[in-house]
Amino acid sequence: MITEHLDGLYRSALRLTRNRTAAEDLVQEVMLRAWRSFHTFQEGTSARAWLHRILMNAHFDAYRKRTREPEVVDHEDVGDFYLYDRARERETLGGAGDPEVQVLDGIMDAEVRESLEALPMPFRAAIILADVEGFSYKEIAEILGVPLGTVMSRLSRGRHMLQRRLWDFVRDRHLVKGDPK
Amino acid sequence: MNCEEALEKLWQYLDRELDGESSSELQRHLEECRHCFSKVEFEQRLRAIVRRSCSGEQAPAELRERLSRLLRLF
Repeated sequence: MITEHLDGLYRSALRLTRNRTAAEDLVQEVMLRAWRSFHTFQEGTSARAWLHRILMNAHFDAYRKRTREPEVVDHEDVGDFYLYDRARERETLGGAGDPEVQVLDGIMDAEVRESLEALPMPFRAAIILADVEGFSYKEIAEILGVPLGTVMSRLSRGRHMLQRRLWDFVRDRHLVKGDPK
Repeated sequence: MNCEEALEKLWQYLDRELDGESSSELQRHLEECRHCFSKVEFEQRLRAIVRRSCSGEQAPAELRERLSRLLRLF
């Protein structure tokens, strides 16, 4: 079961730990924990969700031991379209075509990963589970052990922060190339 | 449904968390409103970019070997 989900678990572990060695250790810990508590896994439920729950718990255990980062307070919902609004404001970024398309086409994979990995942990975890792994609000609530409303507000806030960072990349690259205005 | 009501539900729509009735109501609004449609389209494409960016890496072969060695110990 673990080997079937190994790549996905490893990728999530990489985003959480930001480090290959730590990600490998985390996946090994997940395997050991899954092995020990396999009797608690209910047939017919999602193995992928169960393994991600173990992954998040193992990560938060290690993370709390290592760091004394202050708890991030959940802010109220932002619920905006930050990147879209910035793209519209700029009209065109110098070339032909839709400004929205130009912004999206200019985003590089490495920038997305860097922006995601820079998010505070609770928001990063929620975004990984929803936007990368495609879990539902209910599954994420169970995986993280938080209420549904908290999942929604973390996603809203997390996406806002992610889009701000992506916009910084787009804007900086454009400034380097020279602003047509 | 007006734009304000639609905006309140757009994120849940994008996350496929709306029930059938609300979802088709919103879809009707998107067919009529270019502004909301364009927002949804942008967010869907951005979501696809995020997913693509984070789906390339594979677990290293050493890790697979390490895990199968561990499994044999049990």
